[in-house]
Amino acid sequence: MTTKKAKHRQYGAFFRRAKDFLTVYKNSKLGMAGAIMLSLFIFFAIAAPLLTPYEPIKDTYLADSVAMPLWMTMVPEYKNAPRTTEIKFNANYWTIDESSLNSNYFEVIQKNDRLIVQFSKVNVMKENETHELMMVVNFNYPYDPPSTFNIKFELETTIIGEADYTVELFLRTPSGINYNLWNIEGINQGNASIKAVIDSRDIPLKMRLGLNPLSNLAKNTFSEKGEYELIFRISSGQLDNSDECRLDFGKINLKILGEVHGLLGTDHVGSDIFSQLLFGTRISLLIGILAALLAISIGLLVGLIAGYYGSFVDETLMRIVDILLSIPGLALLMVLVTFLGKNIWNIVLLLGLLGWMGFARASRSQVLSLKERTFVEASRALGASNKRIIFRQILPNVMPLVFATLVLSIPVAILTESALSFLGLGDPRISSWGRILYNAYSFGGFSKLAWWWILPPGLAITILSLSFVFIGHALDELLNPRLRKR
Amino acid sequence: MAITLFAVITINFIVFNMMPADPVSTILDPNLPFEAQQLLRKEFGLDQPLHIRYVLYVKNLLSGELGVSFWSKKPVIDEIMERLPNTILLTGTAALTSMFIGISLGIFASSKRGSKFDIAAIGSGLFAYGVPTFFIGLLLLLVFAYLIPIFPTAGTISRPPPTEFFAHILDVLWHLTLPLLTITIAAFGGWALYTRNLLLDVLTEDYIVTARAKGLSERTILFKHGFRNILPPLITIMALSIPGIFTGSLITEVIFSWHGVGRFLFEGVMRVDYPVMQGCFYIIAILVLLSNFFADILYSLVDPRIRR
Repeated sequence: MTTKKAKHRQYGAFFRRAKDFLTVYKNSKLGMAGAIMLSLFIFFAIAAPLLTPYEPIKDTYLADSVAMPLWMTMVPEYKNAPRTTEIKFNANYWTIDESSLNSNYFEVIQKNDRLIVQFSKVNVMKENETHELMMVVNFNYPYDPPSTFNIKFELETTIIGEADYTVELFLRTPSGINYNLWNIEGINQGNASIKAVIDSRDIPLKMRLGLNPLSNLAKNTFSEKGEYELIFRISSGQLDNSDECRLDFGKINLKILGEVHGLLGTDHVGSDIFSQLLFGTRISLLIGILAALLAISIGLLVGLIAGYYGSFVDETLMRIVDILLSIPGLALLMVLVTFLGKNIWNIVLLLGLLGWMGFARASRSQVLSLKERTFVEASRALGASNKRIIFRQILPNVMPLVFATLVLSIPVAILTESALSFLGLGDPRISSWGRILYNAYSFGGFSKLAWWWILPPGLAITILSLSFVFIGHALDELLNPRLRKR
Repeated sequence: MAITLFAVITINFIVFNMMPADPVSTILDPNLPFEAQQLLRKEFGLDQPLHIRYVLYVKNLLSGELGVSFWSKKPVIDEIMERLPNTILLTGTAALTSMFIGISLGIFASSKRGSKFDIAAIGSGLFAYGVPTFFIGLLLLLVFAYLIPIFPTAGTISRPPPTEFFAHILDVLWHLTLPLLTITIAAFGGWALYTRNLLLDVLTEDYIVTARAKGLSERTILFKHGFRNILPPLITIMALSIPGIFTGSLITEVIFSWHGVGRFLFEGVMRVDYPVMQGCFYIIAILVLLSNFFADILYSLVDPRIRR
């Protein structure tokens, strides 16, 4: 019973002390500013998947590469900047152009959203005649010319008989210019499966249309705003009653890549930068906190041992500290990361193993002075073991320094990690702030003056680091009063 | 210093000879034919036991034998020597300007406590803690090389370099501006804050009160009695910050494609060119050691207690 009561009293004292501490901490403006900024970042880190529908790295070509943020459309110049337009042309969207020659010999079927064209035997057939079918679909494009578009569909053909078939795809602009985007001639007897991918950047396609290989096809074709038509023309050679054909177009998909996207636009592979930024918060916090914890633990251990045992142990450990301190950390990190492999756990480990020296020094000098205090002497006189003195007498008195230094070490780890990622040595499977900057630097963010790509990650690193610096300074002033300002 | 040098070589040895699965791969180009590999293996003493290899390694590094680059097939030491002056130019000027600006700001701040100067010194100090050097570099690059193209985006000198002597110097300075600014902006705040705090400590000492009582001018007190006395701790901090200066210049060299040892290390890492990585890391460590050595000499010059 008594022990329980004692424990109760202990917890009570702890809460009272925590409460007292918070009251004093609230007086520190810098500390509160840091705490508020940090809690914002923690919120972003936790809520990241809820705040964005995109995967930061896996989702590519959500828009064209290096797209502007959506809010840039408020600038009059970019008011009609192309938005990503993706249209799935279901079978029932297509209509048959009645003017096409002898079209009634063909039968158009819709089956599970698939568009199937059949030559029907039932129809009365004039011998030795060519036939043609045109299918048309309309869509609206109200924006400025885009840079890229693509059309994808799968064509499965089953042909019986001697005749050859030709399938062509045209794009007709509102003013009536036709672009022959795709064609295939001489489909004949048997089964065939054709996977058609029409990409506006395709150079042979541009050459076939008589354009300069360096010109932009999408800009040419979509230079007008209004109703566009996509037209399939199916023509056959001479048919007779024994001929049969079945052309299964599957699902037809048109994608015009926009040049504006989301809150912060897209990167060089069309991934959403805003979601990379959000998910990057997790990485920076995780690496910063874990690496700082590791570094401080090692530093504390070394400091306690060196300070308490003194003499030869102290000399050796401090010598090692001096040597490690005089090595340029980033250079060593770069080399070690290439050897051990680029993944976050290696980076955490290396940051911890190379970042403990400063705190080892500070805690050692603290231990040196604590060792000579009367309460340590008293417990030694009472016959306490070294272990007991270190953990019961000295350690609790070093803890204030531990907390303040821990918080101040986090920004160092965050900055070093972002520097590594900026050099392209971060974990390639995750999106971190340094990596966003690496991409912007390496893949045209600068020449395109994409400041929305460069500023946010840099500012995020800065503000997150500063929030830890502010909290650390506030803690330092509170917990280590000898440093307080005069 | 000699001990630290050996420690650096030992760390090099551990990293480059014991880390990877096959130590041979760090020294031998994997693309060489097998016979050539065997020959080189013998030449480098790779068939020897570890301790003999260590002795050989120490001998090689001390004599500047850093191997041949996988990429360019040239001796690494030659490539480094070609780049070393550029690195020393950038790092040296950056260290000097950042210290000069920072320390001056710190002195003014401490003489006018609570003034705008003071707030600027504290602010820039905290700022220096939080802003990554490479972000400052990227911002300068974006604004002054791409948005308003008044400085070059990359390089150490124009191609082809100007022939006239003064034009040559001006061209180098023109290329130097942005990298130099980057490191200076990143580093001066720390100096300002250190100087301010050290000076504020000193200015409450009794001898300052005495000096004031003697009727000396504030200027004399600040520089002769105050600043003079913070020089030793300031130089200690300088020595401690040297690795950081080299780290900052490494990443700045990468951003501005500065033809220096830091960028060479980066290229070595990117191309998995082990001899280059090893050589650059070794040379940067030596540069740090030398700088520390000069800091020690400087320390003994300003602290009369150490002078014999």
